[in-house]
Amino acid sequence: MRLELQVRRVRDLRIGGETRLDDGVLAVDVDALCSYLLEQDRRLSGLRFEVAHPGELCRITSIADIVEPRAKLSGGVDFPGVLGALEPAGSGTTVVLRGMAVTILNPLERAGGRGPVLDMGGRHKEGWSAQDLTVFANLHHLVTIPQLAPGVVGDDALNALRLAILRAAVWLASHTGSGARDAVESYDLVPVPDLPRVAYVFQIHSHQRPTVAGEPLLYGDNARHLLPVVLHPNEVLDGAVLQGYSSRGNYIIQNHPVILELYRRHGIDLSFAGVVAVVAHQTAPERERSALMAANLVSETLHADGVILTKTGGGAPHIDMAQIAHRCEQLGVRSTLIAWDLSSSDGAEEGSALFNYPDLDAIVSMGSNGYRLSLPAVERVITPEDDTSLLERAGAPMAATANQFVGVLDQFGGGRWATALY
Amino acid sequence: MPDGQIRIALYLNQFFGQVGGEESAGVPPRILEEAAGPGRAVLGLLNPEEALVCTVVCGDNYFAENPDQVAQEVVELLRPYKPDLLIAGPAFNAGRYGTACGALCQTAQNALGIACVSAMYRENPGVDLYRRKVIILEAGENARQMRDTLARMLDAGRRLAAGRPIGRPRDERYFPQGRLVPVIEDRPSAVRAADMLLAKLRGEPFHSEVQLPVFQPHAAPPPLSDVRHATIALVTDGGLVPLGNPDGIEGYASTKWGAYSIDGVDSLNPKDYEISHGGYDPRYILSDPHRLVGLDIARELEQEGAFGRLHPAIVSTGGLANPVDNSRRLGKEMAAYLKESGVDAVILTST
Repeated sequence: MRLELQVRRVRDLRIGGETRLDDGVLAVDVDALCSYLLEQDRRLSGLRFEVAHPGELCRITSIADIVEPRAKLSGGVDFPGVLGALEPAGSGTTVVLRGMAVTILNPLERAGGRGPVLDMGGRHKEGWSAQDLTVFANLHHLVTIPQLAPGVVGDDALNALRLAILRAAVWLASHTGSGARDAVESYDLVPVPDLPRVAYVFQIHSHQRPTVAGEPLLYGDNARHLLPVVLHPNEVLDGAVLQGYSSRGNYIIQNHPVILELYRRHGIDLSFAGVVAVVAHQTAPERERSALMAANLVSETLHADGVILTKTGGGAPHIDMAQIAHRCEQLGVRSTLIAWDLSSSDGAEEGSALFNYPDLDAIVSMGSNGYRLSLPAVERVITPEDDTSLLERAGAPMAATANQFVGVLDQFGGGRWATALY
Repeated sequence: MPDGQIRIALYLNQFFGQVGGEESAGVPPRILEEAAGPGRAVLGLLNPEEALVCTVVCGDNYFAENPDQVAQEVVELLRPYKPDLLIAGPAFNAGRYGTACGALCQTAQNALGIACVSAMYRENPGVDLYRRKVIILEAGENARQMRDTLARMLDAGRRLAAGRPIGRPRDERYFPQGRLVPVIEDRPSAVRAADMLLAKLRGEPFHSEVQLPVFQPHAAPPPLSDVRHATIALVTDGGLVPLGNPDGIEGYASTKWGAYSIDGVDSLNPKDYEISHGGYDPRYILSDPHRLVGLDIARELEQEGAFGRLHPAIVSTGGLANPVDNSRRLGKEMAAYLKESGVDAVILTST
C-alpha cells in the first residue's frame, strides 16, 4: 500500500477572486464555495467566511473542527464511507494544501461568544507564544461560519458541520491541485529486517460520549462497539479515520504525529509494525475484552517488540490505554504511553495518573488538563456570536483550564506542552 | 569584607568536622572559623568573590535526638556570620547526618531567608524527609567523590543565592521536590515517546515524565450486622443537582458537594434536576434521574422493610478529573456529614 502526497505550500490566504494558488498565495472564491456547500446539504442555510493568520492577535471561538485541505487525484476517494463510496483508503495520490486549514465554527455553541478557543497570537504570562502551545496557531485558517436551517439541532447539526468541513477541504484542494508541487511525500511500509518492531495502538474515540447513528469514525462507521482492528497507517493518514463530533481537530489525524514519527524512523532505528485502532469503553467487560484483543494483535499478529499508546477524550480513557499497555507488557512487548497528568491544583505530584501498573514505567506527558492558562486580550474575534456586547467580552483577556483551548492538549503526540517534575 | 562578596557557611557532622568518631556523636554544635575537613576542599573551589565565613560542626546523635530544636540552635550560631549560602554535608549514606542536614537547611531557609543546598545518597532517609523543601543533590554512597559533589553543591548554591533559576532535577541531579511544572519541550511528545520506547527496548536508561501515584490502601469496613435496622444514604458522583445547581457544584474537578432533601419524596422528578458533570452524556439520566440515583427502588425496599430507613437527603458531587487530594477532602467531608447524620451505610453510584 503506497500513498503519495503531493504537497503545495500555502504561505498566505485571501478571500475573493477566482480560487487559485499562485506562488504560495491562495485566493478563495468563497461565493462559489458557499454555493457548493449549500447545494450539497439543505441543513445549511448560509455561510460566511473569514481568514486568520499565524501570529495575528485573533481569537477563533466555538470551533467544531479543523481540517487540512486534501483531495485524491487517483487511487481512491475522499473520506470513503463518509463523502465518497466505500473504497480502501491509503493508496494512490493525494494533493495537500500544506500550511493552512479549513476551520468550521458551531453556531449552536455560543457559550457567551467563546466556546472552545484558538488564539493565533499573543504571549502568555509564562512567556509562551500561541505557536508554542498548539500547531494550529501555525496555520492560515479559512474560517467557515455556517447558519443552520430551522430545526437543525443536536447530532443532526453536528453531522451537517462535519460533512460541510470535509467537503470544503476537498473542494479547496481539488480546485487548486493542478499547479507545481513543493514536495512529494511517499508512505510505504517496505519491510526492514533487524530493527525493533514498533506498533501503535490508536484510541480513536472514547465512548464516554457514545457516538450516535451517522457519526463517522472509521470508514463511515460510528465505531460504537468497535473491537480492536489492525489498520495500515496509510488508511489513517488518508481519510479512513475521523474523530467524533466532540473532538475539534481532524487535521491532527490527517497529520498524525505518532504515525508520521514512526514512518520517519522506519528503516532508521525501528520497523513500523502497524496500527491497532481501539476505542475507550464505558463498561469493564468491554474494556477488558478490548485490552486482551488489542494486546494479542500487537504481540501475535504484528509481532511487535514495542508499542506506543495514546488516548483520547477525558480522564477515564487513560484506564483503557493502561490496560492494553499492561497486557502488552505481560506478553513481553515494551510500552510507552502519552498521557496527561491530573495533578493537584497546587501542582503536587500525587495523583498525577489514573492507573498504577508498576510495569508502565515509560510515560510521556502531554501537559496537565487542569492547568489554568491566561490569555492576553486580542484585537479581533472570529465567532458565530453576533451579540456585540458578548463580542467585546470574547476578545478580553481570558483564563481557563487547558482543555478549553483547542489543540493545547494534543492527545496524538503533536504537542510540545508538557509538565515536568521539579 | 567588601560588598558583593558571597558569604558561605558549611555544616559538617563530628566525623567530617574532625572532632571524632562515633564516641563524639553527642557533642553539641560549635563554630569553627578555620576550614576543616571538606571545608579545605571548599576553599579550593571558591571563586574570587566568595568566602567561607564559618563552619558549624555538630554530633550526629546530639542533632538526631532533637532535630527541630538543634536546627534552631545552629541557625542562631550562624546568624552573626550573615551567610548568603549554607552548604550542608554532603552526607552521602549517613542517615543521622543526612537528617540533620535536611532539618538544618529547612530551618535556615525559613529563619535566615538564605539559599541552602545539601547532598546525599538516594537511600539516605534525609532524602524522603526533606527533598520537598530542600534542594538535595544526588551524591554517592561514600566520600569518594567529595570534591566533585562539593563543586556541584557550590554551583547550584551560587545560582540559588543569586536568585537564578535552577534546572530540572534530572539535568541538575537533585531529588525532585514533587512539583509538576508546565513547560514547553523542544520536541513533540510523539518524538519523545519513540525515543523513550527505543531506550527501553535497548535496555538504556530512560525517564518517565509522569510518575505513577502511590495510593494508600483502605481496609474495607466490616459488613452491616443488621441491615433491617440500618440507615442507608444514596450518594453519587454523577453530578445530579437540583435545578439551578444551588451550591454551584462545578461540572469539572468539583470542589464542592451537596446534600439535597428527598424527605417525603418517593421518586425524582426529571423536571426538578440537572446534571453538573462534563464527563459523560447526561441525556439518559436527565430523562430519568433514577438511572443514576435509585430512589424509586430504595423507597420500595424501605416500605418492604428490607432496611431500616433511607437518609432524607441524597449526597452528590461531580466526580470528573478531580485531583486526589481534592477528592479525598470531599470524601472526608461527606463521610463526616453522613456519620453525624447517623447513616450506617451508603449506596454509591458513579458514572
